Amino acid sequence: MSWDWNYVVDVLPALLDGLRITVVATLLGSLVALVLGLVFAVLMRGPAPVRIVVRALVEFVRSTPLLVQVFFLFFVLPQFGVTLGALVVGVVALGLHYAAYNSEVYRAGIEAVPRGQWEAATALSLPRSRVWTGVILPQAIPRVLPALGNNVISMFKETPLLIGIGVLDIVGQAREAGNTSFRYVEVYTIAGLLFLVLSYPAALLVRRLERRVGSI
Amino acid sequence: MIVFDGVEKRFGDNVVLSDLDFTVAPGEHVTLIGPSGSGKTTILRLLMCLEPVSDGVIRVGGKPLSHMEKGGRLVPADEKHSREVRKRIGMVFQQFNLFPNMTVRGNLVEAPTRVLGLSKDEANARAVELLDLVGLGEKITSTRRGSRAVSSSAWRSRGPWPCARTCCCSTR
Repeated sequence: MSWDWNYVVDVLPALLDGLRITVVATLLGSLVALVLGLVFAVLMRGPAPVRIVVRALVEFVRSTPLLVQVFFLFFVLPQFGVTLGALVVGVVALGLHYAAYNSEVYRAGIEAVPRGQWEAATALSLPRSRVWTGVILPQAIPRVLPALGNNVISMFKETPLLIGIGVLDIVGQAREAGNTSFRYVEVYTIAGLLFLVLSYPAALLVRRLERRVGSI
Repeated sequence: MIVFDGVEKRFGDNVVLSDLDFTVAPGEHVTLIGPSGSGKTTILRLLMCLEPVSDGVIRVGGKPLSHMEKGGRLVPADEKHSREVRKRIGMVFQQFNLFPNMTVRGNLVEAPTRVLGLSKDEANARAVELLDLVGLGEKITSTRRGSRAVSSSAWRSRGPWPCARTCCCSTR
């Protein structure tokens, strides 16, 4: 099959619009995942009932496929009177799914903070909230930034799963265009390249962060 | 004044301190000397509420530290009570345990501002004053290394606490 540059020019705006949706879903999903993951990690060091509930939720989310979670939020929640837009469901599902993974990343960082730091904060009678925000998290988070960055990149590459609920991301737009014109080579090649153009520099950035964290 | 009254500390079946009674009067300097594992550090950790007592009562400035009075009798202290009494004690850790994400100034003013409610200006002035005593006034914005760590840790424990300061050291 030949490569048609004129067709590429025609279809590129739609694919770039899909890229915009992909980036929006990734950024908002990452925001949810970073904040919620941290909340989960802190709660997992709380009293037993809270710890058990959060641990169960995290294990449940980590043990079930993202696609099932997306479909559940999109098709099942409306039966309980909660109807959300496709992109909102996508952001929530991606955010929740990666929050579970991020909570484990944060947990590793928190456990890497020496016990003496907790004891010094206790000996100084610092309020609990200040122990977290002033002593523990500022030491824990820099160590886990590379792992969190990797999760953001993974999320970016998993956004095409949202096609299942009608979100027209890069791959969704490529499929629409391909189904209309029956020219698949151009659309899927460009879709792949668009992912590469964003995820490869991001991966390089994460690698640089890793080296920086390693030298601390 | 610090009073240990019949204090016992057990780790499982292992009794580390048994029926410990002693009093440290205001202004008195006391050094605990003993072989490794004899419980010196444990005494300080009990005093800082880093370990709960198994039995007995510790009093600081007349107030029970490990217990609080409720309905005319002593019950195990809650976190709020321990924090209140502990405000009056400072501790220098054997490994210093300074906060590496903070400067020397940050380490010195953290507790006075967050715990004792001093203004930043007051706490900063006090920090400079204390560091000047050991010639480290100009290092206030630096991170901690070597002898600076020792001094910073010592001064962090001092702050404006009026009652007692403890120091955990080892020698070879």
